[in-house]
Amino acid sequence: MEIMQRVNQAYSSLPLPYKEARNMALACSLEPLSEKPGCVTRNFDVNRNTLEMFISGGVNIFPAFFRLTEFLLQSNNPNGMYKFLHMAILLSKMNRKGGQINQGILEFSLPIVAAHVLYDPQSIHDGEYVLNKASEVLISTGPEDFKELWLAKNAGMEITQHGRGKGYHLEDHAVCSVLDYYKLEYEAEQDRKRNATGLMHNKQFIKGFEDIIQTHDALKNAKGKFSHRTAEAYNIIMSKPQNLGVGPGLIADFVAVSIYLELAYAKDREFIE
Amino acid sequence: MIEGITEPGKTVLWKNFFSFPAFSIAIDGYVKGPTRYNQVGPRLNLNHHEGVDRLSTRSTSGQMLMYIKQGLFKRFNEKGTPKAIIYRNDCDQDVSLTYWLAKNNERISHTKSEPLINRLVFAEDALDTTAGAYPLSLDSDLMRDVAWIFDPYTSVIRKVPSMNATEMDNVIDSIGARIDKYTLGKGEKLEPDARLEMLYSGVGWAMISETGFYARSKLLNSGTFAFITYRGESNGGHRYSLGKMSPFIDFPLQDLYKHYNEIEGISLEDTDKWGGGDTTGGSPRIRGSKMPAAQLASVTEQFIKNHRD
Repeated sequence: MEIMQRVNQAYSSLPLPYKEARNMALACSLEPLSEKPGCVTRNFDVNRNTLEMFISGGVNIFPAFFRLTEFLLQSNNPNGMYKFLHMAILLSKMNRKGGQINQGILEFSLPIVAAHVLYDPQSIHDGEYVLNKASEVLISTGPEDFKELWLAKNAGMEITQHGRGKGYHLEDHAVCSVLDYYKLEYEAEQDRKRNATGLMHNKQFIKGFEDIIQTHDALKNAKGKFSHRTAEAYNIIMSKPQNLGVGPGLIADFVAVSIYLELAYAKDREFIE
Repeated sequence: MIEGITEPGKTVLWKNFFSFPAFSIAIDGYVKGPTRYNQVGPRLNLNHHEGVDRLSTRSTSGQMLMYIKQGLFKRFNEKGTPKAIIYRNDCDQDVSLTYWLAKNNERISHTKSEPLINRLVFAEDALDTTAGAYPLSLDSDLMRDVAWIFDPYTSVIRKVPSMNATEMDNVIDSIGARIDKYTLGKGEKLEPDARLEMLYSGVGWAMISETGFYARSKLLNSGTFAFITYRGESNGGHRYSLGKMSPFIDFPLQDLYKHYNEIEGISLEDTDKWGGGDTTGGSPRIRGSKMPAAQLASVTEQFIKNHRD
């Protein structure tokens, strides 16, 4: 048997929790490597955050996504899964300095990974299919999930403050699901009319992850080395007139999620060069 | 007698300059438009800011040196004594050196020549013509002389826009005193302050935040020939300058201005928009840009990529 067949067989034989956790950890570790203006990269530290922190944070979340997948395979239902977001945010901080640097990636990827596990674990469809299913996953979350999301968001803020970052306000809501929470936050951001980044963040959950779909398309269509492709996807989304004033970190989060989708549907393609 | 009159920020039209006293010389943008001479008066405008190709036009001080050599003060002369009233609206290096040359015209007129003066005018001419983009080594003796001579200006550059005439005169006189020392071989040397923060390094261009006056020289000397400098945020808008070493550098400024205006929804008829020349330009003067630095860098990088593809 040829070596690449043996490589692919070794991967295929892994239980799904290993694959999902590996794809997330690798996506989070690859994202910061490319040169994206305003972001931590190989050559730039930003606000005392470093590449090492991002790679550590990415690898640190492996157990949380491993456990998430195990949970979903057993329950076959997203209800109760947000405790793993809380777990991921806490683990992300282990052994590294800096604040909560991957909050957005983790919030976006939790329902997306769940959708992949629940609806397309064999990767028969494509990334867009999973992103559409992720919206259904959010509908199925319950009050316990909101409670865990709330704890996770507060933990993220405490980690940021511990890392000498600025504190920020979190709005508590009496809601029955995670989706309802994001809806209220989105409406509140529209009323505030001052935070393009917050608006765009919350919009993803209630509008079918539309900007993440665009980022994923841009990544798929980009040519060249992997780092060039991720940088190009980032630049394309940042250059859209409707995205004026959106923070670079949020677009980088979209890129990270897009890389996860590339990995989830890569099969035996060698695309990291 | 050579006299200087400073009127900060003021510009007048050439046709209106005829109402100024005889022997008036406007320098470096006081009169809008290219260099012109009228023997009635006489009156002279020395400029290289508007209506000229900058790279093939001397700086104002370079022009002054040439004009003195060619007999300027034989005409600007009253009863055998050089006479001029020099009008200026700034106190930068070019203005200060131009005024010093006029005041010291007898040292360099006709066949008289002083190598140190020629050397200084060469440096200022090269740097001013290219908006600091002439490749002179920052470690060189010449640049260390230049840094010391013009330090009275470069060290207060952020205050210049709010300076009154007396404050500007003090800068011009301080620079003049340093040129005096330098030309007597008694000048000092100063390390050019080239501190900068690299915000993004693109393919053939970079976005920087300048701390030192000579930051652009450092960037260009490192082999990056096109740049965007981020000058911070004020009145709700982000402020940028764009530039490149010469028209021969592939950094399509005019196309970039147009693209930025489109992205920000600024019409081409709007007077407050992205714009400038083919080697330097910047964000809308009044409103600034809506794009934070990271966004502008992304927009630029993607545009350049598409342009080169």
